[in-house]
Amino acid sequence: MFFLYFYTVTATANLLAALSLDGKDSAGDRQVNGSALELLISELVNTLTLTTQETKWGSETAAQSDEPKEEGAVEARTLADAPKRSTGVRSSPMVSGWQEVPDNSELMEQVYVKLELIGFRIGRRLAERFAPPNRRLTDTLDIVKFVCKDIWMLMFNRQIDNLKTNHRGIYVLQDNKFKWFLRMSGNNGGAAAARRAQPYIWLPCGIIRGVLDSYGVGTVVIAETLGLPQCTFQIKVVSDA
Amino acid sequence: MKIRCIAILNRQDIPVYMRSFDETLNEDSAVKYQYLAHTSVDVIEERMANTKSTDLYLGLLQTVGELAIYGYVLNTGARIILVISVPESIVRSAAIREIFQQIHAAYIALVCNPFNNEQGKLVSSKFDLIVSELGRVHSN
Repeated sequence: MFFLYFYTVTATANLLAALSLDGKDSAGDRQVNGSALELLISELVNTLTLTTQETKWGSETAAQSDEPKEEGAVEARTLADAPKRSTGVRSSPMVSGWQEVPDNSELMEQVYVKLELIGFRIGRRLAERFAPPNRRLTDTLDIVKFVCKDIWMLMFNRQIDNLKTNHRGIYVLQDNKFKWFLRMSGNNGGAAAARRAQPYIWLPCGIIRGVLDSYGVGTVVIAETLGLPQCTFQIKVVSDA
Repeated sequence: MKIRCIAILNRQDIPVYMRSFDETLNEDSAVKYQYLAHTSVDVIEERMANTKSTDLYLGLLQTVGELAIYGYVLNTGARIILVISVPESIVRSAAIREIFQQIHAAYIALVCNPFNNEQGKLVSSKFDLIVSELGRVHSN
């Protein structure tokens, strides 16, 4: 009985010892290979598009068919069936990615909402985890600069190249060598490739919005790219810190 | 020094975590600490508006009877209130600062849990365990 008590005391004492504000373990810094994130992102966009299309297309046929619904009915429809009824997406389960950006703008809008929301949740947690542990961020410009330097350094191992502001609530962040675009190349040239890369910057939009929202700054973040590998994020402050 | 209560309020001053270490657990003590937390928030707002230092640790906010109340603000808006019974010996602010940093680190781990409900009260057995341990370590 005493042994059990002693064990729980030491276990919880180790709990306190393991706490540290900068996330360093007693074993040292815990790190993850950055390529894992790049691979995840490229698959995330593709998978979300396919699954959103699947659920949309799935709900349409379920309404039309008068067969009795069974458990097996969902699995019977494979991804290989999807291209026959899709509107412009030509992809097969073997090849990841698509040849054309899906024409269905409603589909891409749903994908945008999902990606942005995922990014928002990620941003909130990043903001909590990596807030400067010994100083307060006072005004909005301070917070945006924190995003440019620290958050970008965490995610992409580099800082934003150019920050412009009109001091009235609009900030423009310019990244000339956006990490996730470095491995993308379009064989059709600049504009088409830029259009196809569009979904991949929706997630960072959400992340920026999540980080700013955590610090009390309500914003709308829009991203655009004029030519790979450059991209620009425009932050419009809606409610201030 | 004995820790009497640890409370966490969110950006809208709504208490999301309240933990009291009184031996006699009755409704009076819970209400008392809620009241203390709310009055401390006013002091926090005033302190944050006036001070030029950008420290997260706000120091001694107020003393009520035999209780001393300390405050700590997070960058994401949450406020941590620590109520201790006034000790005979002098309390070093470094010790209080360290307690706050431990609570902060545990809070970060709590928030980063993707299964955590962001809007409601903070419910986490691990966080409770850490807070209990803090209360136990500093109850001499």
